Amino acid sequence: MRNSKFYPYLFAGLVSIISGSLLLGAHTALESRIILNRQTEEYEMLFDLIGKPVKASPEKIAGLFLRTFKKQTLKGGKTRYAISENGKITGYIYKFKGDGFWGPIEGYAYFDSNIQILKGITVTNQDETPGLGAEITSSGFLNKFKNKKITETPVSDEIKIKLVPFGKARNGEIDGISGATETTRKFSDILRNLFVSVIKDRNVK
Amino acid sequence: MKRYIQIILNGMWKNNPILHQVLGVCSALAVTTSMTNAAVMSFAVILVSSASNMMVSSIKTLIPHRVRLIIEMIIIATFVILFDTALKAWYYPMSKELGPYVALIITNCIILGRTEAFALKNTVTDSIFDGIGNGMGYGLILMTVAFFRELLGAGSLFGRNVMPSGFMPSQAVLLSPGAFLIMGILVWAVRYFQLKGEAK
Repeated sequence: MRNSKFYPYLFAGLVSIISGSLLLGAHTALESRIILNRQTEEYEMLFDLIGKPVKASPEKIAGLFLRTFKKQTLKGGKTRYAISENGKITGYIYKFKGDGFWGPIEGYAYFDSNIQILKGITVTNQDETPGLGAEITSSGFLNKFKNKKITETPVSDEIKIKLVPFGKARNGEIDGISGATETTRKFSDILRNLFVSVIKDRNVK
Repeated sequence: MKRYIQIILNGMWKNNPILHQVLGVCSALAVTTSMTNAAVMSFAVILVSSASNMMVSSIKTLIPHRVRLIIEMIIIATFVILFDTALKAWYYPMSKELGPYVALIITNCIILGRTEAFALKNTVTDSIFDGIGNGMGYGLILMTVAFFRELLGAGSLFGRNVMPSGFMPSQAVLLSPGAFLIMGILVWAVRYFQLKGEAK
């Protein structure tokens, strides 16, 4: 058997099957826990975004999340979270997603209850270049988006918030990231699309 | 027992994978910004290295010579992915912190190097201890570099502030050039004293 010319292929195949089975077993056994961890992380990021960070067990955070964030489905299947405090809606959170330089960029944007002011954004998922494009997740960059008024008229060309090269920001504009021109451009497009979309929901309660 | 201690000491000091073989330097530079990261990474390498060595050594007579590297890589990758999955399930913040570097243990030359150079020619027990020794040798350097980088770059150790309030942390040591510099000084210092000792 060991002298057969097929032996190396059979052996490599057998080892691959054993390895694959082990990994499949581990993944199946731990998948629900990994999903719970990811979900909890996302909930924590949303609480951070509205300025109310929480540190608790995943179960408690999930309970608190359901009480604070009410999912709303709007016309056309669009969804958002309404932030509820003492029965009053204090703001809305929209998810954004689009193509970055290397992969998709995902995150959430937090607006006031009239959708006039962008109160902050967070990036939950990105594959940009570490040290350059990946700086879109840094607090220094994200803090620039706090309390920015978005244009009054729902016309895309008049949206005032836009990303510009570093140091070139004028009133109503936001500095981009040096050395990450493509990521800045793509991220700018993602946000512009989001603003165009959310402005239409201003009168939807 | 003395023999096993000798194998471990050999991997840790005399034939240290980073200092003497210059293996695994990439991840050693990447994860040494904090001592906690370095400790988890070291633990992962000790575990994967000893388990891979054990597995390869126990089936060494069955492995066809022509495909031995493929078999070794499959075994190493299996253990690394198992560790990565466990980290994601039970220690999620650390998994996020280490990012792709845990998965990249698969490409860490130390592990493949030890399965190839040691596990294929030695007994199962010796191979396990060789894996532990080399993993500990890697960890020793990681922890030493991380000690200086976290202390000078953030003024803390294991995330706790240890420097006086007036201390100004240096960003330079947290960046890659700082890591190269500390690693270089460390290799020079250790080699200098080792060669001096050998000359006597």
